[in-house]
Amino acid sequence: MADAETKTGFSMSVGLHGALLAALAYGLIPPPPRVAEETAMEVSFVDEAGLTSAAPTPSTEAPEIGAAPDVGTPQDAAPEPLPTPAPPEPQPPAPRQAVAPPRPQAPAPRQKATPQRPQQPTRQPPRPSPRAGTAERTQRSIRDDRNFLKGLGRDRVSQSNNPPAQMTGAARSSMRSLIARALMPCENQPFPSPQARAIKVQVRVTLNRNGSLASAEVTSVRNGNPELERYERRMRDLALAVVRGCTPMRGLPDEYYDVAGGWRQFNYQFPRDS
Amino acid sequence: MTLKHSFYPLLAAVAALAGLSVAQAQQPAPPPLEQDDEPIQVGQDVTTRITIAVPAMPTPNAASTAAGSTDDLGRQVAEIVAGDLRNSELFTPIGPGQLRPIGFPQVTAPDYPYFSASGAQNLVQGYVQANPDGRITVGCYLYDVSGQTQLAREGFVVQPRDWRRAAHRCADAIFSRLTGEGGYFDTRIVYVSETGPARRRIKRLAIMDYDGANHRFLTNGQWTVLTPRFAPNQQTITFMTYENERPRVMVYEIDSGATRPLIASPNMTFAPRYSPDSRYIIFSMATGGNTDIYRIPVGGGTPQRLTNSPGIDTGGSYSPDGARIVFESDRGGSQQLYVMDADGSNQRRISFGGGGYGTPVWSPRGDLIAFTKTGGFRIGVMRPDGSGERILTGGSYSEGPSWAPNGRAVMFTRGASSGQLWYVDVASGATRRVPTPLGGSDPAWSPLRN
Repeated sequence: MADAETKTGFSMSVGLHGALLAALAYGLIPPPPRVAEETAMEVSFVDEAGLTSAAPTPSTEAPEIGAAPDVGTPQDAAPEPLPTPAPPEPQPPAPRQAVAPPRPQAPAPRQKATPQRPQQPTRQPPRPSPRAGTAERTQRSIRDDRNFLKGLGRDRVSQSNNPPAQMTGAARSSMRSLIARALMPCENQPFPSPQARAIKVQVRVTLNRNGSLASAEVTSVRNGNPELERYERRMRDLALAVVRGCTPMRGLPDEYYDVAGGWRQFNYQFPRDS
Repeated sequence: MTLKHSFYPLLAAVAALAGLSVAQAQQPAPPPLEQDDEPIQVGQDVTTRITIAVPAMPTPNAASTAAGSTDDLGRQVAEIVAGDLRNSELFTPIGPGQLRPIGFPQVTAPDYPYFSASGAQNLVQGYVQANPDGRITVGCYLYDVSGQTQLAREGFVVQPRDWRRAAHRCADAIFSRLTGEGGYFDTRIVYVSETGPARRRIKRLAIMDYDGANHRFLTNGQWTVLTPRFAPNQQTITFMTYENERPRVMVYEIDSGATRPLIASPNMTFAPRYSPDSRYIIFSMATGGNTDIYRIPVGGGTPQRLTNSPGIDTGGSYSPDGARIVFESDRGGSQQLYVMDADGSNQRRISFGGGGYGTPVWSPRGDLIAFTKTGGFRIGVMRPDGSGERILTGGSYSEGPSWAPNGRAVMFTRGASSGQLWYVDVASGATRRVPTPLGGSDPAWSPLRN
């Protein structure tokens, strides 16, 4: 008796599973509902992220070592990209100011940038705040340090034997939060009018690897109210001011900088949807 | 006076001036009055203010002008610019007294780190230069401190006596660039100056710059005057007077000072206001126990009747395109606002809230109508179709709104017994008192000056 019941149950189970497989194979059963895409956020990355998780495989080979042919004597590390006031150093402008002839020449901060020999171990004083967080500064720092960087192996993730980090949903969400949090302190901008908040400005932001701003470009201005057109120009200014004011950004994971959907470039909407 | 936009090269050589005829020095604005009434914040949130640095403006060559030395003028122009921006309630200026002086070469090459450290988001720099022809040039530059970019620059060439106007024009340019609105600092106010006890009040017509400077009386106080209005072309002012105890509308020629009645009629005429093209005046006239609105050419002629319903129709005000007129009427049993086409057709009521509505004024932008809510005497605005009613003031008795030329601010009378002039930023609800030497009422804001 028991055997018969067991056989019946077993055969029913096999049959039902077979039917289920067949139904799935032919698409008769709808797939389980996908997790809804996150609604558009203020900060979005330009490229779609891959949704597979891929931890980097440890490399079996040593990373590429760059030859350093002409490094010369070691130097102090380049100053931190973030301009920090150097209290003890004499401020360069002061003497110049005092002796400044009445010549009405544009007082371009006298950073003569005389090509400094790499061997000289003298510490270069930090420059008087070049445009903080702008592409200009970054480009200059790369130019200035060209010789120093020449011998280093390129450390781009894609160049190593480790497969590049791939963006995951969780990482993407985390970085979106990091960026949103970084911009928030600068979002209290002086709106030309309370109604102007209805104007939404999209900015494409490109960051350098050190978190400084490479570029910020307004890509669109959404405004459904013709009466508010007079505020659009100012709202563009303010959106850019948010980005300029709150860069460089710190704490963004380096491995997600240059990957597809990484934080090298993202879209930012100002003001946020409330 | 002519104001020309021009961009004088900063490094142009300027000869020192000698032997200039001394022009009348400009009367400065009276010192700011202590606010004796708490500013009202009603309606929407007050917009965050823009912190803006305004250092003293240097001169390429120190020279003496009819209005003083260019060094002194540079500091005073900066103070006026800072004062104008502060008055708008949209800016927090850091004025010349709080900043180190800048050199002439820095006008076009700002020391951004210094101004950034001061907390300024924007920066106004400029210069004052004496020209060989006796005029002065005021250069005006606006910078974005964080972006380290120039946002605007303008130059104004004026007679020395008009140096304050150059400062106001500079402030207008900055205000316009940073808010998206038109300017309103280079304007004048005509109003009724009041003094004396209530039963023997002396009411004189007076005119002044929007900030209270250059104040002068236009009438001697022999007859009470009310409701002055600027012509859009700024050539005439119309007002009502009780000359010989008879209320009637007059027209005052600003240049000549001559005054004449608008219409030769024994009937009582009052509540005049110009059409946007300055060709017509609409006014109210009482005939046969009925008060209606009429239209007449500014130079005189036969009045054309626009309303004819029983009751009092008055307070007409044109839409900026001249196509419609808003007015008040008690035809329905209470004082309410109505809109009609400019020829008097298509009359319809637009106000339906509790309490009465009076003294409507159409915004120069056309988007709003300001009014006095007579229940409680508050200043409010609504759309021309009557929707979106919003009360802007609270507390004290307020009445008689008049729009700034940019449609952003409204000036009005506050105080029932001893009036003062105030204005309110329509977007934010922030209010500020306008300084007057005596009491004041019935303000009328001029258009931007030519």
